[in-house]
Amino acid sequence: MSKQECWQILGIAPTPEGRDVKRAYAKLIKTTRPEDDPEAFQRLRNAFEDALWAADELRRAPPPPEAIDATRAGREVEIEAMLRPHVERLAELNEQGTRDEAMAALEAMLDQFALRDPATRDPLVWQLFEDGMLWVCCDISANHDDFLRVAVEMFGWTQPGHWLGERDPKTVEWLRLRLREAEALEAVDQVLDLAEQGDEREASAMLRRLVDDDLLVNVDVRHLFEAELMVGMSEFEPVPMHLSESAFALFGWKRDHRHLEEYHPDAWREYQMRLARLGANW
Amino acid sequence: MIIGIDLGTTNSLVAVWRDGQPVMIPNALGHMLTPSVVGLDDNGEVLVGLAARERLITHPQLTTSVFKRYMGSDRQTHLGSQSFRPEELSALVLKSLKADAERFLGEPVTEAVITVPAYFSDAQRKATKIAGQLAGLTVERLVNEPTAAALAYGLHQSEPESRFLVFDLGGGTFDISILELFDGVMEVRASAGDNFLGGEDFTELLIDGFVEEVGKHKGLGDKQASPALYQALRKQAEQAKRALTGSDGAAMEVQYQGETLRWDITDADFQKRVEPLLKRLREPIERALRDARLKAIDLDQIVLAGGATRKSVVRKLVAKLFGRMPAMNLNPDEVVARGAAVMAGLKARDVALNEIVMTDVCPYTLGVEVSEQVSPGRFQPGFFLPIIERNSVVPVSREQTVNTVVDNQTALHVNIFQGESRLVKDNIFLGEITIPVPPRPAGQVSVTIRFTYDVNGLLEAEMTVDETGQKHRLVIEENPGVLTQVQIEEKLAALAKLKIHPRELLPNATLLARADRLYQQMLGEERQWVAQEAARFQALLEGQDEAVIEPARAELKAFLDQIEGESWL
Repeated sequence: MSKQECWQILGIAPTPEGRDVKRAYAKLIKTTRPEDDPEAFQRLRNAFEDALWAADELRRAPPPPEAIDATRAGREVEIEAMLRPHVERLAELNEQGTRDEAMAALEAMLDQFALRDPATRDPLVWQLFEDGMLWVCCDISANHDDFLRVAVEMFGWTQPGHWLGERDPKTVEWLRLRLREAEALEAVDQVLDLAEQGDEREASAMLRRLVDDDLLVNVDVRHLFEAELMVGMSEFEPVPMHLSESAFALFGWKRDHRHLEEYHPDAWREYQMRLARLGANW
Repeated sequence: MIIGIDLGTTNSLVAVWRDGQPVMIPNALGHMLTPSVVGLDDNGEVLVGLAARERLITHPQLTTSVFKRYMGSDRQTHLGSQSFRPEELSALVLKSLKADAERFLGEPVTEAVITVPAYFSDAQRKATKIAGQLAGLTVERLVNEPTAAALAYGLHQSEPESRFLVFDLGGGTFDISILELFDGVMEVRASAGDNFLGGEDFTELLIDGFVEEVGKHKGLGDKQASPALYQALRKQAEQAKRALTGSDGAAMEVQYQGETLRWDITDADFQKRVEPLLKRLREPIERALRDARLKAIDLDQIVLAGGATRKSVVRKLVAKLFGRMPAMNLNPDEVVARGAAVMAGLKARDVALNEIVMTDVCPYTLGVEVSEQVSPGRFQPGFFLPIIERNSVVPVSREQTVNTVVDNQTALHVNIFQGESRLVKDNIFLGEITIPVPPRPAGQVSVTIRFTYDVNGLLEAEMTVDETGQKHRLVIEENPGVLTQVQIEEKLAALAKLKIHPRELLPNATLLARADRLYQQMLGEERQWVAQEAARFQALLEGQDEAVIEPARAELKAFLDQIEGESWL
């Protein structure tokens, strides 16, 4: 099927919107049901899958900037303008700076705007600060784990009954997951530290304990744990054989390692190469 | 009218699409769940359902259960002097459900949608279809169980777009499906499962625990040695399993050589024992998520199906695995049958469902065995060449070309497999075909193999010799797990000879079977009461006066309930 053909079959112009592709497909499938005309359905289905792919390709442009809400009160706009550069600085330090820099900037902000004492701080400033922090914690590409922990604690976002949970339960779920992931990453570091100190057997034993631990029950947390562990091990020279063997056995990597490959293709290739060089064959 | 049937390992249900919604159909006892248990009574008449289940303990040689696990095999089950294949036993359950539906609808029923575990193989699906045929039902469609559950669930979704996961832990099988719903399209993104993991395994664990903890030093060894004792233990284990759902503990008790053996299990102990089973739930979940390229956090909802999801250990684990509480708004026992009814409505083109289309996937990879060159000129057989990759949307048709590897070979032997392993020895063999090819130097004859997998999950293979254009179709006959047309005719004739216990008399038979079972389980005074009451009721039955029998039946039921607590399903 050529690149244009899928759009013709779906009867729409090329679009970056997956939603539009789905809508067009949904309309056509009602008259091309899979059980009625298998061949026509397969043509439609292939066009749908190709178009979703093509839409993905088209969707590279950056999102438009947020529209300014004209209805907001003057004082609100004023405070926001005052906080904005500081919040943006926090975002930058989370994405590119060190943990300590980000934490220091946060502390400085709390002092500068007198936000520490609930009794004396300006409620509107606090509210807009919270909005900004939520953006820093949820919408940018990277966060320092400690920064996130402090923020979640400070605003009580994951507490039962918090306004965030009522308005946006998905975000709260995401934050909870993020905190658990942070814990899992610490565990990865501990395992790798043990291996680095030359105590591979102890590292393997720790891995065995972790596999059954509550921390790694959640499928997403475990996914990240496995992926980071693999990346860590790929950087060792020589590769930790004993620990690798344990990881392969405990997580079933021989059976399925797609998540590792997808998470970091280069690291996975490097890791495989190093294992092969040492003659691993489990 | 097409009916929807959930043919389960432990219980079966039937439902119908009526007035724009699924409606559950009760059996002769007024229950929605019919135990998937078949037996012969003392007159050689077939008993199905609760009556048969009660007789598992008192008449283990004449009664059988859990036969769904053997579908697709040629295993014989002996009931008295007769023997049955798994599809015949299933057909008897289907017949009973068909009779219930006919009674409920007031018209003959000849067509059905039947659900199967998503991970059922080709042979298992064919066996299910044949079971329908043996029961006098044309199987209009086989639907994967989690897909059916999703249909029932998705019908009530008002969100324009959502993604959800169906966690289906039934009596004998475990299935995971990930679905996406948009604009009336219900799309299965991925399915994965384990055909040998279900509620029955939890029961077996408790039985093993009993034998290990209290039975062993009393000389109670092999559980197969005494079928009656095993069935009594089974019943106790079933009850304990239910009691362990949200309480602190339970007890199992059986009579053995004049002694009462008792084992107290705490919730914590149970949790520890089932750990290995719970661990097996993870792999299919991870695989389905990876196949669908989704993270758990991307899912909008977790839907539970299957009676085993009532267990608190299972619910707690699900909550932890996905970091959220599962949806609770549908009865997990009924959700698959309701979905089967929705499918029946779709099949019948009900106007209320005009705007709904469902697409499913083939949950496993299908391919052929090929030889690979291991050194120059040396080929080694045993490698798997995938033709249809798992989780392709069905219907799907794909082809691959293979070449000869030996000079002047005159025939090409094609073995077909299902599975995910690189080596065919680790995959499931489906069938084989040998086709003639023109003699040419190695590698010069090419054959195109086309696989077509239909909406019912049945596979067709077509081989084309490219040079001659000659086509061959595979008719899988080598598989002993699938009956041939001739055998089906024979089985139909054999089943027609069987006498089925009259449906309207089932409530009485069930009650008497229960009384017999209680008699066997009780001791002393209570035992005598049971005997007296049962004998009195039996005498009344002979008068055949329903006006007298009906109040007596209610009385006996109340009496038995008082002795052992309300009968559970």
